[in-house]
Amino acid sequence: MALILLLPLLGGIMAYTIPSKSGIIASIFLSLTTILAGYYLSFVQGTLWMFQFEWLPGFVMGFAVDRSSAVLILLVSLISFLVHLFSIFYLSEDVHKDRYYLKLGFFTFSMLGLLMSDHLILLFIFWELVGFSSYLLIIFWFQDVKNAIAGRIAFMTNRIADLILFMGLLMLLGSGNDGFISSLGPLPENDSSTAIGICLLIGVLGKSAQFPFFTWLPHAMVGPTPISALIHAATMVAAGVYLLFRLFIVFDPYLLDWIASLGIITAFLGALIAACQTDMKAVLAYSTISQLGYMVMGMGVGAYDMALFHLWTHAFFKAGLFLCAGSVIHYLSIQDPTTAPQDMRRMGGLKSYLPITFWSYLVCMMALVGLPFFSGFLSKEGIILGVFSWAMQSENGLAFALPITALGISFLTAYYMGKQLLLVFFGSYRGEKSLKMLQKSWTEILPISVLAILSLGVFYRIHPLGGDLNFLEYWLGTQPKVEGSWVTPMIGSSILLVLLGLGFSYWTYGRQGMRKMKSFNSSRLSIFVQNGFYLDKFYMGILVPSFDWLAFKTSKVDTVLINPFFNKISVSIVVLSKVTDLFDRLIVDGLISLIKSVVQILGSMFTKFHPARVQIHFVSAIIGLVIILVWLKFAL
Amino acid sequence: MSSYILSLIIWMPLLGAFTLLFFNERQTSGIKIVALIFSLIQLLFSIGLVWRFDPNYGDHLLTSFQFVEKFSWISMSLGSFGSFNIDYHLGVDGMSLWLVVLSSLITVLGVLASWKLKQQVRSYFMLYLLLSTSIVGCFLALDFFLFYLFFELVLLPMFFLIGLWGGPRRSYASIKFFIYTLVGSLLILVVMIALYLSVGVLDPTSEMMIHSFNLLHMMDSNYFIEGSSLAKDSVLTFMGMPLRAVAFLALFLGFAIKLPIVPFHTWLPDAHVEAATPISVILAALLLKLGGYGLYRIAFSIFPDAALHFGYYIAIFGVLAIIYGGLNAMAQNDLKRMIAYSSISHMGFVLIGLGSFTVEGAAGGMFQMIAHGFISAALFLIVGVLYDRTQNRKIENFSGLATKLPGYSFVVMIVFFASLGLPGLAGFVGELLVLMGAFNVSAVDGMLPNWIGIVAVMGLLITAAYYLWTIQRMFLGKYWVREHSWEPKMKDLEIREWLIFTPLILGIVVLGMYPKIILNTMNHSIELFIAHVGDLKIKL
Repeated sequence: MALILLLPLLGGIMAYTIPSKSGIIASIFLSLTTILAGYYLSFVQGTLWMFQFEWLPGFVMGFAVDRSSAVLILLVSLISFLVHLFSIFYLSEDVHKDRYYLKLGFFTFSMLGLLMSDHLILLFIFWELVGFSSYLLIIFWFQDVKNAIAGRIAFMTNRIADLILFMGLLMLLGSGNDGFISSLGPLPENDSSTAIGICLLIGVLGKSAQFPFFTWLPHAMVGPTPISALIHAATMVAAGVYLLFRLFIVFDPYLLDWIASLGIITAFLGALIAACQTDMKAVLAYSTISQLGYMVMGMGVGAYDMALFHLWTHAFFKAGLFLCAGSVIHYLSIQDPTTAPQDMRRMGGLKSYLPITFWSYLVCMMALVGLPFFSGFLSKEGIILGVFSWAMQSENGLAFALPITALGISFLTAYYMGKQLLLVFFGSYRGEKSLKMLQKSWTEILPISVLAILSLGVFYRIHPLGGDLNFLEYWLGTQPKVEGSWVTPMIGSSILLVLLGLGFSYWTYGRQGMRKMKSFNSSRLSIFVQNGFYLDKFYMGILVPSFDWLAFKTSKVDTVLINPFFNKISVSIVVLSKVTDLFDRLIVDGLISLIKSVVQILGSMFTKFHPARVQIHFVSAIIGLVIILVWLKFAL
Repeated sequence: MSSYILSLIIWMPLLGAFTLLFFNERQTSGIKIVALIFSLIQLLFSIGLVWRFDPNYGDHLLTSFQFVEKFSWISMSLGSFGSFNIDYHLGVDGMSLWLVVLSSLITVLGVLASWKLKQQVRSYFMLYLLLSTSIVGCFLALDFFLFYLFFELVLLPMFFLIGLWGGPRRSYASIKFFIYTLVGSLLILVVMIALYLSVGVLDPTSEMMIHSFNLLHMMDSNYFIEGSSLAKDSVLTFMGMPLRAVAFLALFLGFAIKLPIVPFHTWLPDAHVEAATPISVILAALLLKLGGYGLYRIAFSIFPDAALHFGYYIAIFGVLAIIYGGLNAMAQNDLKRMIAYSSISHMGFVLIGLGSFTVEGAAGGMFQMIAHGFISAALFLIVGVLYDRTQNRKIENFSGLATKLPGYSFVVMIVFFASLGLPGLAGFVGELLVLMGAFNVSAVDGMLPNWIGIVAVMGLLITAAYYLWTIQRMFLGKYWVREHSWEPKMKDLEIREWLIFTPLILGIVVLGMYPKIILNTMNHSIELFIAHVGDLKIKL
């Protein structure tokens, strides 16, 4: 297991030292990791790995891998391996491949470490390293200052949430907990446990790009597209959901309701914003936000097994979609180099030029919108059913808003994905140049098609509509136990809504194509939505400048208040010393010279009386002195 | 134990300074090599000290010092005042051990960093080595008078090193530095004399009170003379406050000016900006630690009762420094000024750690000092690299340096992220321990309220903000420098510079990943320290 953890890092370092073969080397290391992870998962029973060490004196931390994390370890290493392969293709013209693979290896290492940690502080360490390596990869093309700024925003937004999480962890440790995740229990009910819960929750919201922190994820899209696939769709953003799963027991039910509500709000907003995007990657980014909202909601209503399952399926089909997008962007940036290779309005008709990409895209997309026979259907239905049964048990009638909104989101999701499919692959190409078929390299095709195949439903449940989820049984030891007469109508209406959404997108874009799109996108409302409700603008335009203003004003305290104050003191001391000096010269010196001149005047007066016979004066003075001394001697 | 290793460590640089007298001003390379050799020998001795150090020595703070050397130095009878005794008394424990190692390492690196110096080389290195002797002397002295002597001796070479080899406003900066620290020293001096008069042993043969400056006696309440002004049960007050509290506050202020605390910090940015790179390094990495070490060894150990009383306010000062320093750093456009303010911000954690009165907090504060020694040294050297090439440090004059200077930018990334507290690097551990202490103590007995920890964590956010902003403005984006004449000079790190940075970066990474390397040797002493200081806490 330690080998699994270290291999990606080692691979990255090796790739860095041998730049000419960097991609291949890193991929080989990752394939070893994947094989090892698969091996452990299939042949080792019980707790797979335990390792504890004393990091600080008297402060023990440890790794522990059980089956639920081992499955995710396999997921991360497999997708990371595929992304490594795809990167060989995607970055074939880039000169800084060595650096890229080092960062990628480092990311994979930190992500695996996060999944393996069994201690809150250790988890936080890897949590931060994941954020850091994500930052490094976002700014990979740092020559463009826009990317650098985007990276900074992403890291800072994460950092805010992370530090609040850190506070929560420290308070948890402070309340007498030893910090081992496997031995966590419910907290006693008091104010501090609520505070802890809120802090932990905010950490989850930050990493998993939930409302109100989701603004960082679209910024993160400026990184290379394979990175978006790995980090900002499949693995890192899922860390929040994973943490929620691990710390499930700590949250009290009241907070869980909040979690569910925040999840559905995010899912809805994300889907709405995605529907108004024109940038190919931005659609997928907001779609990721929306899907993560589903998972968080699933966690909140207690359907944690389904939420994790959705994490798994989403990782494959969303990574697949991003890699398809990468394939499209790479193709267009070579065939028709302009400044906007990601603008869907310029694309169209790519179906015949990129057939494998198209078919993979189609499969992954079907999985995303949740049609039967595809993996997304199984997990999404599970979550929706979980939410519904939760709402049935809830006393509050408002709770039904959640499953209903969730159904509505199915429609939106189908709509924006159908729109993207039509704009990118159907119709005819809307750019200036004519396109040529490209010879495809296997490093491009293989990852995409593997991800698409894994998005099929048959791997998880043979029967498309009903039956047992053996995979989930194996993974988490649970079976979804949702029963009731409403199950079939729920599933039916969900499928219906998806089909309606697809149909609606075909009705808007399939026939009229671009004209409709322009009119829709120029309306004020859609611009408002497209910009993510100006949440980002609010942060960057109001919060950040006011913070800067505060910093500037504080620095003024030094220059205007403290420094002048002490300078005034020193000046006043100098002035005082000058006054003393003046006093010294005028008064004290003056007195002395007064006395001196008086004596001088007297002396000169006396010299007039006496002629200058100094010796005699002197002798008589000495004699007089002796007489006085002798007299004193006798007198005393 | 009759070993003179501590004396050797202290006096080795001074020996080097004397050796330099045999050189004339023009033999610059010879002078540099001599300085390097003597500082290397010092480093070797301090590594040997670590080697021979027993981490579990002693079972009480007063008996936990190793390699003790004690000779009577000045002893005279003052008639009815008893006798006047100053000892040459050295000793090392887990807290001072690593500060000594840090000092000798930084001294070596500072010599390397001054390698290109051209003016008045001999006097520079003589002052430099004298500075090194006095800093290490402070860390090892166990006699208050000896400590004070070294403490004052630091001022002198520093004053000249800033004032003669500094930047354009050097005379202002050096005088400011001198006056600020001198005011602090005078406060310490007053308390030292008062302590001297209150501590003593009755000589059984001559019935005379033997006063001494022995720090260990001052820490032990049994040695306080009955009814003296600073005795444990003293009822004397000064302006309505118990005299012991006043004495503690005076000591605290004296050392805290050095640390520094807001609002007595303004000497620091000025001194840093005007000082040459190696001097800035010494200033940030070592001189600030003198203040922190003084708080641990003297202020807290001698007046634990008063310290406990003020613990909360000390932590508030820590938080204030963190936030205030951070915000100030954010507003600077001079890279060196920014880093100077970030030092203020980081030293705030030491105060919180001390104020928490827990083993974690105190160990965290100590670790923070060591880690900051490494990180701040690297930070100022980073500024130095740029300044050497362009004579300029304004943030807005550079952009996209990562393209042109990849090696340099690599170093910058590691050091900046270490400073902003990325886990796995040294900066994180100290902060983690301090915050653990702060949150623990708030849960256990409410000495510090939770908000101290919460605001301190927010301070980390500010740190992240200004470092990331600086990285983005200076190192990312398109390569560009303000003056065309700088272009040919913009070269990546040379071997000498790598030689300086490598040990620092190694230290940062190793301390961050395996902090036990230091904490194992330090922990016992910290526990004894807290047992000594927190003794009263249990009774309260």
